[in-house]
Amino acid sequence: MRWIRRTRELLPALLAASAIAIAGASAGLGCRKAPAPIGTRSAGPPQRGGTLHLANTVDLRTLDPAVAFDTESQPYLELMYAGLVDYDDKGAIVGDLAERWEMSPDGRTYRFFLRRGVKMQDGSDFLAADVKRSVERTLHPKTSCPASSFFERIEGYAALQAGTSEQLPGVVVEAPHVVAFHLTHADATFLAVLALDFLRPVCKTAGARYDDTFGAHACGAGPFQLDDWQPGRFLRVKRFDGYWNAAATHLDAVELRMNVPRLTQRFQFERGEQDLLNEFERPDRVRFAEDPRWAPYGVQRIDGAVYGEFMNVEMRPFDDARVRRAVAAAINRPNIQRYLEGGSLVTGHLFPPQIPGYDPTYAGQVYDLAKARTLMAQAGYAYDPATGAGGYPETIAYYAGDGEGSLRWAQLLQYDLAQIGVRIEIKVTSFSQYLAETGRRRTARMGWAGWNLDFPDPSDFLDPIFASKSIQQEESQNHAFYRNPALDELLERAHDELDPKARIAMYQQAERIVVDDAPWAFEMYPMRYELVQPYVRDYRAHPIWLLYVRDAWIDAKGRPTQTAALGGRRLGAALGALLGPRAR
Amino acid sequence: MNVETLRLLLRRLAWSLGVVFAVTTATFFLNRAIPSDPARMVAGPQARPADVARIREQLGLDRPLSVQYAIFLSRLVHAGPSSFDARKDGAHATCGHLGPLHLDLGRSYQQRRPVVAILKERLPYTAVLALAATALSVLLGVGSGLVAALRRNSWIDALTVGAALVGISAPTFILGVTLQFVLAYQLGILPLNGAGDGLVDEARHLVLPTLTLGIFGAAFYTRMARAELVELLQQDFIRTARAKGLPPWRVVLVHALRNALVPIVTVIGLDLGGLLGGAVITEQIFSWPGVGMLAVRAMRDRDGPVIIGTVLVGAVAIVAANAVVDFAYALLDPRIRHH
Repeated sequence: MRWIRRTRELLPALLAASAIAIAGASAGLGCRKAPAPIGTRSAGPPQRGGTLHLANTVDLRTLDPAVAFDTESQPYLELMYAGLVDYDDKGAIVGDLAERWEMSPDGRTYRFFLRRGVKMQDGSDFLAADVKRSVERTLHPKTSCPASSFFERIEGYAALQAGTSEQLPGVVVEAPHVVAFHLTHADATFLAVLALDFLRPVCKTAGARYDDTFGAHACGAGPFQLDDWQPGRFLRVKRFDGYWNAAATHLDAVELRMNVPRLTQRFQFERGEQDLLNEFERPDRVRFAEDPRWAPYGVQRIDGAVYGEFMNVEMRPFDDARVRRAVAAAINRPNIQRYLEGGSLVTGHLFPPQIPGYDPTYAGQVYDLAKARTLMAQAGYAYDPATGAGGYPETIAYYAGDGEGSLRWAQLLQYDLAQIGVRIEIKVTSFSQYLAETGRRRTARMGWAGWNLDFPDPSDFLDPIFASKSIQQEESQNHAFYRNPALDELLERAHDELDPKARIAMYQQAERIVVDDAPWAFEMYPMRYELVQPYVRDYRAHPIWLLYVRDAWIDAKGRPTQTAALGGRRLGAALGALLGPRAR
Repeated sequence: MNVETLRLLLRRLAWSLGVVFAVTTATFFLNRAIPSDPARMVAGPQARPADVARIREQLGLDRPLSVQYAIFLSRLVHAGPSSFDARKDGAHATCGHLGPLHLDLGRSYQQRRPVVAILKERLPYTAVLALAATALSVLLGVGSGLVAALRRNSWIDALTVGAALVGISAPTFILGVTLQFVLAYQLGILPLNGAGDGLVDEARHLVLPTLTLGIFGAAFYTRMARAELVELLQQDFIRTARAKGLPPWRVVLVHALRNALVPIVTVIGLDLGGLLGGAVITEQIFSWPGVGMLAVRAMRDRDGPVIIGTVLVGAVAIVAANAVVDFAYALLDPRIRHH
């Protein structure tokens, strides 16, 4: 009796507490419909002023362009540092600190004519000597530049790296506003890699050699300068009025809050405390993307990347090209597209659309189950789908990524490959372990493969991952350990070819070799979905940079106060919203 | 302080240092045993092999493991100047120091800053959160446990026990997000996340993570305090105290509660030690820039020096908390003092 009495007393308390917890959790985790956009979008010319509030889920590693090779730091380096050249909003290379440049007929010398009257953020004049000092600082062997080898064709690079010289004779100050780069041999990718952040001029305060503390007082010649950086918490950059094109910069400042979980970012965005949202929990992305009220404020684009499966050609059964081709043909891309919920776009290509040489008329690898089964039979692994007998006799470990999306993807693949008698076992690893094991020779037979654009050139999607020179015992980036002398020879010729048309044709031929030989089964381009507040104007997806806010501006009239964004602060309204769909 | 006490203290200190050393060493080797390459994580997944190799060399990761460990040990604790300019003095650029005693955990692979400096930034946030949450847990938990024990079998008791059951059952990531949603997102009375600037703003930002950890902890202390007190209130010495005519508050607070606190203090010590090592989930939810969040990032990025630093902080916190608990025992229970 006593037990019954106590239970009765406990029950109301338990029920009430459980209801609050469940309602709170479900409402918070996305069971409600998307709220209406806050603020308004009005017509009118760009306005100067205002702060753009951003957030991300990670920490910025550094603000020193010499050592940053992470996607998180890049948008802020792009704000603080200007290069001799940059990419415009079509992805074409244009002058930034360089007014113009010329290339010698043999392609071995690039001469840049710098803009006059340009100021660095420490107030000093920007001169050719700043370019040379910054290049030598970045490429010095004591600097941990993760992309140093992009510039290995600059004369004197090898000696500088070997420590036999402290100078880089290939970079010559010819006049206060003229600097020349001399290359050991022609390099058609030189401008493309120069437009990256690594060699962007830094102030004299950075010193002639790399110093770990420079990031704390970062200083360059870009349109924004460092105002406040609290690692792990907060970054604020403010407009630099000494920038040569400061008239085109509208924002007063850009603020970034770091280490903010995705759900909290959504809360901040819905409250008007964050102006751009590009990291979503999957249900949130779907509900915003499918809500017509948000359609004008959503930005969707294909990232410069390609994902698929690598197959190690040094290990059975993928040492047989017929098996690799069968795998590529067995992937039911149209079906996979249905499960991707707009997060990616299936493909059978290597090159993403941003890459010169992308050919939309080329089909690439396509789904053809009958052909896949025939190829398996030709390879000696005939499979009978009616009985499930036959196929490749061993189970193959498949190295998947550790995210939820990667696992779903692997499961879809597991089903598709089972249709041709290839049975895979999904092995989930951390990213660091994945890199270590898939890069080790004769270790991983198959796994997820992805490559992101470093610079928009087809060589970037071929040389590091399919050339035989990229094969190593450990840390191989050629995860398929693919070796094709014809491809190697073609890539070498293409790298030195200065005629753009001939060069692109060579790379298109190289893509067809890789697609046909199938060291990878190509599967999808990841897509990026971003939401901006109605009052944020002229934010556009950039074809190269992942986040480019130099041109954005704030429509002050359309920006509501934060209180208005909340829809009131009364407890009743809050509980009403908590327990049901929001009305607004 | 007599000789015996001094000997006890010294033995305790040696044991504590041994534990910290063992944990740090184990972390060093475990970190190297994981099949991954920190240099690759520094350089980025797409860095070319030549660049990764150069970075590996710069980080000293190309040397034999025994050499790496010897260097790590020789730098970990050493003597040095009592004052120096870290920017100019390269030999001590990554040191933190207490007078001439230097602690050097090296430089973060990812952030490229001294680990000691990073920990110095993060520790105050973690310490404030740990202390605030523990204080809330203990006050709320022991207080409600006391009320429940005194009103045993009443509706107050049932409500308290029920609430404590829910509190224990709700993990911090549910409780934290729910509090964040209601109090910050909907009501707008508290900030969603971050640590704030200035005393008042920082205090406002502290409330939600403190509530999350505090409520979770309080639920546990409520059950514990109630159970202890229910049992103690039926003991002979309590009956004697009441028979002697002592005021009820004195019987409860001085005689019953004081005895009930002995096991509770043990748990408080362990909890506080754990929280000082970083409240991993709560710090993540509220973007609280403490050691817990730092540890998670470091493990994801395979940032060895920072991993060792955060583990060291956790080990020291647990060891120190245990030492404090031992002394608290002596204060609470004269029998322990005499032994």
